[in-house]
Amino acid sequence: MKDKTKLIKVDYLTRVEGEGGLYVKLKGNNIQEVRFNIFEPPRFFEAFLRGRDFTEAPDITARICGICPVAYQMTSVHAMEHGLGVRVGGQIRALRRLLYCGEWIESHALHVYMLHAPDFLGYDDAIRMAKDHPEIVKQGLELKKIGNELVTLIGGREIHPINVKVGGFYRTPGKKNLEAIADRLRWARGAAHDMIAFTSKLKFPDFEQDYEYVSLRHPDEYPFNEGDIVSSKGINITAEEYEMHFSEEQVRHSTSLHSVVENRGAYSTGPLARYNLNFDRLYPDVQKAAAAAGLKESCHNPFKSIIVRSLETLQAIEDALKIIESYQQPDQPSVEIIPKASRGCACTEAPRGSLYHRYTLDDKGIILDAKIVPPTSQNQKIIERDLWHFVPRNLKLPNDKLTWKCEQVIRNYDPCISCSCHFLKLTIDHG
Amino acid sequence: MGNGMSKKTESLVIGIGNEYRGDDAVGLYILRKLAGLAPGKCVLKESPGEAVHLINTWEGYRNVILVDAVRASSAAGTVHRIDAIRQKLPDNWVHHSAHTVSLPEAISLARTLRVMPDSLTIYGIEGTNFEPGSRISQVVKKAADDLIPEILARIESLK
Repeated sequence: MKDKTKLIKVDYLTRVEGEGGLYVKLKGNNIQEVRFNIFEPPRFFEAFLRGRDFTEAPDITARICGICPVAYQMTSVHAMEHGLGVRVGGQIRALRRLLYCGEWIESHALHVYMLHAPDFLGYDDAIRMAKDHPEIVKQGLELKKIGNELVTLIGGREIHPINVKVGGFYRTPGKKNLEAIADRLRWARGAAHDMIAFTSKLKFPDFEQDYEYVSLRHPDEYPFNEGDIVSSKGINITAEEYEMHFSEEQVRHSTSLHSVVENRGAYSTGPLARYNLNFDRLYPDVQKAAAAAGLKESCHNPFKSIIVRSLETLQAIEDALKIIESYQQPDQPSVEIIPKASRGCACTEAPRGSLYHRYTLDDKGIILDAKIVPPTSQNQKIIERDLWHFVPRNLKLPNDKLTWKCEQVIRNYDPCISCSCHFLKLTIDHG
Repeated sequence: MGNGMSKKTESLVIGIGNEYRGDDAVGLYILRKLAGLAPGKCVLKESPGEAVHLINTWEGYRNVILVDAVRASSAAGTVHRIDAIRQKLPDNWVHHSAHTVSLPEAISLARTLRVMPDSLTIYGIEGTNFEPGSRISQVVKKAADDLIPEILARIESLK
């Protein structure tokens, strides 16, 4: 008997940051084709940056995404400073880390409560979930608000912060300004413990995967801004060497480029990668919370990334409190920067994964060339691979349920499609 | 969340948009014009249009005005006015956010959680060009300029 062809198609994926699509073609029990479509504007921001002054990069790149502007700002300033031979330390460095804590808290809270939790509880969206679980959703909203407050306090504005510059900040907050938010963060600590308890009780499909994980690793800290790029298969390089080990491929079905490890292929970046490569850098209380949530020192089920995001939220809150406790307002908000012809690179950890920037400047500091590799571009190939593995195990599901499950596979990665592309559309084709 | 707290009496105007996406920036354009025309008369805030951000932004305000670019199959520059407390957003009104959990979801979620302001006036300006890197089209800019006196009058009436 001839196998029947089946097509799963979702034109517009919901509950992802941006818009995109998925097309899965099945023949009998065999997958014929998986296409995770992203329609990217032709690298608009990289082109837009050419000819601009190096000081403009933090503000321009912050506009790439409304959810993770800090990641773009931090990566751009670190890349510029790397090229210009400047090292920013002390309290300015601590403030940058504090700013990043705010973004992780707000971004993870948004994804866990509003975008990902409805999948596990069987709701179409957070609005329907809020009818039955208003207190859980309100807690998520409040946690996100605290993250935003932290970003506003350091960045001057919660959306597209304006206080970040190459070399530091335009102004720094006083100790009292920071202490004012500490009580809110202490409340958030309790909420993050609730978040971990809540997510650890969700039901997860058995879907252990064997990935190459890639993230930053710092000698002493869970990674935000600094560290070497490491992988679970032996990569250990500086950001300067990134393009020797990772490349981007053009694929016909997507205008976004697919990132690969040279000679190996797909890899995973984001919370699971960070957790698996940096478990020993988590605070002891966070490690304890992980054990209580049933996680070991590594986790290979992408559906459980919701627990890891909750643990990272707690880590960011603990980090923020620690920074505030030891903070002393610096004498100068920034270090002096003198432009010169240079090439600088940096990689930082955005909430949804590693973000790489590279800039070439002329002797006056004008940007000659820019390269930006967002985490969602890096995860596109692994998302497609997950679908290749997930769909055959779930062929008995009715089409609408299988389609919904495929969307969940994608949402495991909190893809910020607006970072890597324009509009995302999803299709499962059974013929 | 701030249920039961007394609400701020000054009006809040939220401008939604992305600076680098053509007509999508019209909410930000109007906000900046208002900053010069209505200093001290209202609070002005930008938003990328993501639902939770919108709710957290308007939480605690009695009167909220929201300005955004939309696509509703009307002529470019057409201004749509919605009293979101009494009216539903039209089904054909595509809020042009890069984030799919956006304005319509914000309103539904805020209703469910009972965190709607007392008044929520939405001005949606029909856009025509949302291409990355493009500027606001002239027809949309003119519509925005023409709309500003009406928004100022609305702010006055809410005092």
